[in-house]
Amino acid sequence: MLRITLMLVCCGLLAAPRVAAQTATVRGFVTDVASGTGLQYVNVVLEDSTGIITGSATTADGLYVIAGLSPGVYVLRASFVGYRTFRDTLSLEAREIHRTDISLQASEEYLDELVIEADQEGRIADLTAGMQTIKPQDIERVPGPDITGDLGLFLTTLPGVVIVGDQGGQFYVRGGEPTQNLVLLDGILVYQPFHILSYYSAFPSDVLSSVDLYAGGFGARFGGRISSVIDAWSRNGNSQRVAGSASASPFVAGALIEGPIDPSGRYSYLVSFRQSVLEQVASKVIDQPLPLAFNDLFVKLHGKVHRNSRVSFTGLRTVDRGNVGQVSGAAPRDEVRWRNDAIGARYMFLPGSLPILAEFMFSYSAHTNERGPRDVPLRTSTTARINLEANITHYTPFADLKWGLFARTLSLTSELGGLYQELRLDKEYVTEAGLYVAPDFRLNTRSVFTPSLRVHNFPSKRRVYVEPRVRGVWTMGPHQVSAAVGVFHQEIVGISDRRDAATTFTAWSAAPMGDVPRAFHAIAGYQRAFEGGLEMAVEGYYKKLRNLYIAEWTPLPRLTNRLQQADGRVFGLDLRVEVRKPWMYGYINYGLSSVQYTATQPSLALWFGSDTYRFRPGHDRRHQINMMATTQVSGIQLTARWQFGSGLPFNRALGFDGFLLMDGKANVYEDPGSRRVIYERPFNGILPTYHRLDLSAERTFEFPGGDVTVQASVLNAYDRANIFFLDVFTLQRADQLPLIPSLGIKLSIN
Amino acid sequence: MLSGHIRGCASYALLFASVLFCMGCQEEVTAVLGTDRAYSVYGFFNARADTQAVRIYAIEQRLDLIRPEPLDAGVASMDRTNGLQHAWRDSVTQFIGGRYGHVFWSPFRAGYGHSYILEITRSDGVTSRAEVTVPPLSEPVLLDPTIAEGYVILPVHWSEAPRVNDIRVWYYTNKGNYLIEYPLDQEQEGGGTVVAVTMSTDAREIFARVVRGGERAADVRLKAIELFVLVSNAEWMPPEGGYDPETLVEPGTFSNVENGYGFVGAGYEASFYYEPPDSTVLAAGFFIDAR
Repeated sequence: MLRITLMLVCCGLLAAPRVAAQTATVRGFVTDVASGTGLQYVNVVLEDSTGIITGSATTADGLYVIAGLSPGVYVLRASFVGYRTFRDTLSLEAREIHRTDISLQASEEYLDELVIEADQEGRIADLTAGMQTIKPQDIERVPGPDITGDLGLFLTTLPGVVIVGDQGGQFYVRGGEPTQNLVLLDGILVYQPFHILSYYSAFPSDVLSSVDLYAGGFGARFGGRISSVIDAWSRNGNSQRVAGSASASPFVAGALIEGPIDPSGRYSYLVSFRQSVLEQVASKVIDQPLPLAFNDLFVKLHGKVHRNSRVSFTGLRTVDRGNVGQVSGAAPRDEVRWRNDAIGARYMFLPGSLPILAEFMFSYSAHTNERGPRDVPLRTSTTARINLEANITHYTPFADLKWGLFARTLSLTSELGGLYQELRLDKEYVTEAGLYVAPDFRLNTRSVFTPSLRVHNFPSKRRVYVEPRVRGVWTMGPHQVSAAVGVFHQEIVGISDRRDAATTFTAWSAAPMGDVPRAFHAIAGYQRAFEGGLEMAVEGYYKKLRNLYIAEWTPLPRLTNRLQQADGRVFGLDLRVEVRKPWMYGYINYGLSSVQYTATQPSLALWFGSDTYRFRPGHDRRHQINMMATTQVSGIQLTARWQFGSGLPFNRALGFDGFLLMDGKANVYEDPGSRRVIYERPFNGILPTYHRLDLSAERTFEFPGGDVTVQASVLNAYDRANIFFLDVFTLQRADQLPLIPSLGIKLSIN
Repeated sequence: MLSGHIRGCASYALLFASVLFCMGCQEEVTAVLGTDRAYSVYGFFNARADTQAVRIYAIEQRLDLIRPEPLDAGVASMDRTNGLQHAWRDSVTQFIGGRYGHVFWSPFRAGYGHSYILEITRSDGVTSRAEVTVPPLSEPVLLDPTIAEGYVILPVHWSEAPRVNDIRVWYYTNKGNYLIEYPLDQEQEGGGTVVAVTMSTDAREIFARVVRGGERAADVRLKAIELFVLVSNAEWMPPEGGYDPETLVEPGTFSNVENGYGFVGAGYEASFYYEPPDSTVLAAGFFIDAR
């Protein structure tokens, strides 16, 4: 298989220039003339003399490349909602690589269309084989406690995404566990990007350019995780002038500043910092302790090193601490803390004489997770990864041949205080190397077929994974059909005790019992745009999971335990309906999901009658509905969102007693024994349904050089007592956040 | 007309507010279903103790409810062999960490070969019950040992012992006494149970400990060995053959308590003292003084 892969790479390298030699290529960058930043998803099309149109959409860097053009005269057109359309006439010769950089100018004439047009905003119903592109504007629409939107809150509106509570920052995507999600920011791995208050993540909307969420079936460029990919890209700072914003709410205060580094505007910076204040402010508003705190710092430097190259440096630090679930009188729990440090550099290069895009990346990602007292934590887990990778795209007449190489080294250190005894506690180093090939075969302007192959090698473990995958999109008029299948492995696993919803401690390790988690995904979807601004999408998915690591089932009343392996299967359906009218925007999402784990534990044979047991894990939310509607009245943006989730499985007990090991040594007078939970079968109970209404009203007041936005919002408007978890040991219940009114203000200097 | 419209709006508003109020209500969750079983009992009838004792846990709806107050339990035993009945009394023990345990006891000696019924009755009449038979008095006999250079096995036969638990051997030496704990390996033979003392293997373990203690193995002189066992009733045998707490903690996996959990055994401690001859000592690997 390795030979075949290498042959594919060689053929691609050799074939691309030959084919390209017969044709011409047009490429360039599209930027906003005011800020100098690249514009993503700009439609750039070429129309020949016969009216045939060939086109491309710009990347996150604003790059477009249209290859395989016959020599001749073309009209180039670049259009983007809210901007004046750019037009030019090009005369192309064979073998020519024509460069046209485009600066688009915002136009008041088109700004009103922003409300109703979809191009600049993502479309909730635009779901392509599990992939959805999320734009900052989509994120900002969701009513939350802050004016600045956050990806964390937005993700909770998606039908395939489940959070078990509004604390802990644990996201489950289509049945996958949080540690099975690959989260990248500018290509840099972020281990735990979601803050301890799950409305927030390391990704505020005002630093994002776009986010591609692959809920499954992702291509061969991504690997090392078996559930999903969140591929977030930050925007560049304003290269023309200094701008910034500052915001405050009862939850978070933050500031952002950006501007040019040099007078020529070739280099720019963007810095964002947020600090939670809910411990000090929101807790007073609701008269309830909220012992949760976090902050995040994001820095990006971007430079146009040369006409054909770009370089960027990204840095991210997040810090979280808190006692998850210490609300509604729940017993105090050990404090949990985590921290992410991620830095990376990216160099993008367009060779002058070849229709190729080359991208070289270096990144360092570290994650520290602690539980227990700050001075003497009971458990710690530290993970660090250095990553080197190259991603190459050959633009040919028929396909964009993408391939890449990567090499990584990881260090994994855990001090677990007796937890997970199968897990090695010493420091462990793991090396990885591999390559992928992923050609995008264009069937027509909106149909792409992408077979791909990833070869992932772990020399230190003497393991090689070959992962074939296929993605395809077929568009016929208003109809679009998409599908994806693939095989995925995860050598580095996150070990958590998911029996307890409040447990957020995660230890990262190479597969501790040898067998590596493996998944097979199959996705098929259909979407259609109707007249009158109505769109719908429906997508079915299936995941087969092998060698998952879960906590062993035990009646001892402890929250941690030994590990065991489990297999699983997930299937479900996402249904999305989106409405865009001149006077309103709204959507309804419905998610149906079924997750089942099967584990074998010999010690259960006598208790349950079989050593194999099947159960619904604690994140198996069977039904989920999200509805959102927004409209503008007298300049005030009014938004309402209602969320419903069927009850999550939880563990029920028959009663409690004690246990003495009757091995002949026990002394009934002196041996304290253990308290014991007489469990029912695992996760056999169902918690009450979850539902919540969030409302917001927002108005922006403009002034010369900037604007002020004021937002009033109410979270959980009818004060639903949504249960977060129930401590079966103490029968104490912790609810999610109650009704919280919030008033936020944001000052922006443009 | 207008007032009717206002009334209509008010009705809708009231209905909406009522719906929201109801939606905001907290739904109760039943996390503990309860069980008809009343008690979990641990202990054994000991033929060599003047007082019998068992630890009793009430099966409750809360984890943290072991109180110092007397347990709602009436405990009585009956000797099925002679019909004698005994009432058991509650005593409370507080362990390190502040937890309490209820030990019920009764001042009588269990008879060899006697069968007993232990009943624990709650005030509402719900009863947990266990029935056990104390093994007959057993006499240890050394069978033919296997002796070769570096390989000594001493088989000890415990007559009329249905089974033994807690097997351990003390080695008495001039450098101190060394305890070797044994697995539960045993064979049933001639109506009794045979336990093999692996003397040569134990010698190597003892030498390792001596060396770790900074002394010379050659200075160790063996005086005698003593094998201790808990002669047990036949039912005192864990599933899977071993006392793995991770397995046995599963409720009901090792239990003879009707309408409850836990295990009530029967037995007594017995020992076999033996001074091996020099030839056996030498063959096992120990040193002897030159004569």
